[in-house]
This record gives sequence, C-alpha cells and structure tokens, in this order.
Amino acid sequence: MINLRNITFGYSKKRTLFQDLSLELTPGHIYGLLGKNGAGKTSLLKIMSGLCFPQNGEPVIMGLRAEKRYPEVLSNLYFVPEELYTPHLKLAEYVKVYAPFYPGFNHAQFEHYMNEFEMDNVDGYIDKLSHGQKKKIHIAFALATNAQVLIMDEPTNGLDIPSKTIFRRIMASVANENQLIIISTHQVRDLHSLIDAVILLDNGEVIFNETTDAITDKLVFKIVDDPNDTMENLYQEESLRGKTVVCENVNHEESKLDIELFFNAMMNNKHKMKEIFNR
Amino acid sequence: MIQTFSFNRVKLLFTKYFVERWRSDLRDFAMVFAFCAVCGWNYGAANIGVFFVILFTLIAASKTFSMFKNRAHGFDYLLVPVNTLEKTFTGIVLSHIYRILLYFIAFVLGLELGSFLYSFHPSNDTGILNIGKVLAWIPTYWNYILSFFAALSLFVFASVFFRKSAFGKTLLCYFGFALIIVIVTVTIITAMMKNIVMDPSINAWAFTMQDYEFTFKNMTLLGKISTVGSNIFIILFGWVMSFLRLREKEA
Repeated sequence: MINLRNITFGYSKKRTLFQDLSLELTPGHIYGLLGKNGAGKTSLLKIMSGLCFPQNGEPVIMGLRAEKRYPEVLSNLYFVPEELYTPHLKLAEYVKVYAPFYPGFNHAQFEHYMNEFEMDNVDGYIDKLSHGQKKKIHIAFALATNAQVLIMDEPTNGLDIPSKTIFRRIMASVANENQLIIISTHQVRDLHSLIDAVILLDNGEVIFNETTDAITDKLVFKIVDDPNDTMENLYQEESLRGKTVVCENVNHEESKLDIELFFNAMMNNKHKMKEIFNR
Repeated sequence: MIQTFSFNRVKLLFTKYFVERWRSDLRDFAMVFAFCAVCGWNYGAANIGVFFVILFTLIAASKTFSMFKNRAHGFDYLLVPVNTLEKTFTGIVLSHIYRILLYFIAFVLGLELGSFLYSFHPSNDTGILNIGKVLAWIPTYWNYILSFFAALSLFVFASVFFRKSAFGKTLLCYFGFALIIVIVTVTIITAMMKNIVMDPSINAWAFTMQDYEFTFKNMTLLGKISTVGSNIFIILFGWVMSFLRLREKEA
C-alpha cells in the first residue's frame, strides 16, 4: 500500500536526511515508527503522504505517486499531525465541513469514539479547547473516516494517562485487514501492546522493519536475578525487580515484547541485532 | 479512476471556506460598509472610497492562500482531498468574484446610506446617490478594471508564493517590475527615435522613427493594445503560476 523506493531527501542540498531509503508497508498492520529525536520520523511520514517531495526516488501510495496528492488518495488517507490545526468552529460545524471529504466517514463511530474519550459534552468553539482535547477530536475524527491509511505523528503527546489507555484500547479495536496504520512516536511505552510491526529509523536509515512476532521469535525479554549472568545479553537495564535483559532467543522461549528495551538494544547493539534478524 | 475536475469537491471546498470564514468576511464587509458610509456624505468626490475598496480587495487577495503562513493550517489545507486545479479554481473565484462583489456591495450600500443621511443636511444639494450611476462606471472604466484584475491575480499568486508579508512584498515586486518595464521601454524608444517633432495637425509631440512615423493618435492606440495585452498576460501568468506553485507546495 505504501512503497518508498530509493528515496533521497533533505531540507537543504548540503544536508541529506535520507539517502537511498526504501520501505514497503502493507495493509493489515499497525506499524510503530520509532526513532530518536531528529531521526526523520515526521519527514518520512510527510514523504509518504505527499507533503514533502524527495530529491530522488519514488514515494508510491495506493499505487499512485504520493507527491501528486490525488484526491482519490487523500480521501483514503488521514494524517493526524503533532501540530494540530483546529479551525474556529463548533464541533458540529467541524464535522459538517470536513466529513464529506471522506466517503467512508461514519458519524455513529465518531460519536462512539468521542464518548470513549469522554468528550461527549463538547460545547463552544473547538479551537479554544486544550491541546489534549483537540487531539482527541482529531483522533476520533481520523478513526471515523475509515481511511485505508491512517498516519499518526506522536498521537499520545498531550494526552493524560487515562486517555493514553483509552487510545490504546480504541486503536486495538479498530485495526482491520484492509487498513494500514502508522504511529510515530518517541514515547515507545505508549505503543505497548498496540503495534504489530516495528520500523526503526536511525541516521536517515531504516535499520529495522519486522513484525512484533518476528521480534519475540528471535529475542527474549526477561528479568534475571543473578547479577553475574551477563554473557548472552544483548542489552540490559537495572530495575527494582532485578536486571531486565534482552537476549537472543536460542531456546524458543516465549516472552512479552518490551518495546523500550528492544529500542535501546537496537540502538546500542545494531550490528549484532541485524545479524540475528538476518539469519 | 483519477478525476481531473470534480464540481462536487469544489462545492465541498466552497462550503468549507464559507463555514470557516463567514464571520471574518462579515467583519470585513462591515468595515468597508462603515468606511464608505462615512465617505458617503460627499459621494461625488468619493474616489477615496473606491481607492479603499481596491486596497481591501488586494489585501484580501493576498490572503487567498494565507493558510501557508501557519504551518499547521498549511498542512491541513494541502491534505484536503481536493486536487490543485480545484484549489486554484476556488481561490480565483473567491478572490476575483466573491470578494470583489462583497466589497463592492458594501461600498455601494455604504455610500447609499451616507448620501441618504447627508440628504437631510440643509446645505446638501447633491441628493441621494443613484446606484445606476455607480453601475454605469463599470463599462466606462473596463480598462482600469482589467488592470485591477491583473494586480489581483498577482496578489493571489503572491499569497501562495510568499510565506509572510505577502501584501508588502508583492507591492515591492510590483513597483520593481514596473520600474524595470519603464526603463526598458524608455531605452528602446530612445534608441529607435530619429527625432522628435511637433505634429501641427494635432498640436502634440510625434516621434519619427526609423521606418515608421508614430503620431499621437497611433501611439495612444499602441499604448492601449500593449496595456490590454500585458494585463491579459499578467492575469494568465498569475493564475497559472498560482496553480504551479500550489502543486509544488510542501508542508
């Protein structure tokens, strides 16, 4: 559904952000796009949606060139940016104006998501609401469009703790086989038990693109009590309960993916991790 | 199937504009109306009113794509599922027809009210403004109107080209461009002229050039043709450039 082929991109000719980057994303997944600050996550999302043009390469979405911004593509794509634009409108006016652009928009779903976010009593102009409340409206609207491609840039920024839980619950319930969801964040804990594929971006390169099943198949995440047991660890962190470690899953153990630990392991031990996943 | 132009999408874009902007447009209308009502006491010399209507329209045109001043707003606009041709078309209709009509109606109604109120003043001998007179100006000044549309299309282009201070920057570019044209024209004519003589038949200066004698009469005709031609060129230039610039706009 999204295919980036040999993308070279930079905001100036001297400084290239992506060099010959290729990436293929297929429907039926919730991808977590992870990377440090300034890794190029937002730029990559903008290239996918046709908001930034690469100097070289082909960004293709739904079989069409992304930078052409065809309405046929845009009406099936919804992008929730980090920096939101909220017009001076009441909620009903906002829905009245924006919903008709999206043929799949479902008003009942929108109301349902707004209720879930405890936003059923929004009165007055939406641009006067808090950042978190605006974000909830945008997320609810995005989900109600039933767009085939849903892109969310730091969706949990500005959400309070209960809202983050609600967000995860809603996202887990909406995913379907025909939809491609990409969530970019640097707060990896917020994606816990939500995503089923991970894309890692570092120094303008996609250094990892695998499903979460593939991760837990190749790696094991566990807490060890023995402080001297460090031989096989790819990465370790001290915690109150002992040492949390990431090891190669040689004995086919079952474990629960800890995205933050995985992210740190990948950043600290890139070559070894790549070697494991290329086997 | 890719649809090059959809009236339904254009209709949605117009709806979006009017629902989002009707309050600010109403405010602008009230401002022009109030200003012209104040000028209406002496509508016979109300050129100042016309001047301000033109100014307001140009400022409004420079705001046609003002959403790009704000990153988040520009982002939102670029992702509205409407193609560039439809967005440009909507922008042109809003700036060239809707806003002109909006301000013109405010202008006429303002003058009408002002002249009506002033008609009660004992020293008034001009009476109430006749709307027919105002409408009669339009065919008389068509050449000026064409120049106005040319300026308007440049201001629309500027609104998508410049991120900040579109009005001021466009004025600067406009005057700069006009200065260059004047310098080039004067240089060419000077180079072509053999001598300047007084044409006794029309009591005006005539230029005798290398193989053609330019009289005051055909100089005027030439001037008109070049003005109309350059205005049409600028109008088309502004529209086409707005379309191309919008197509390449990034967020």
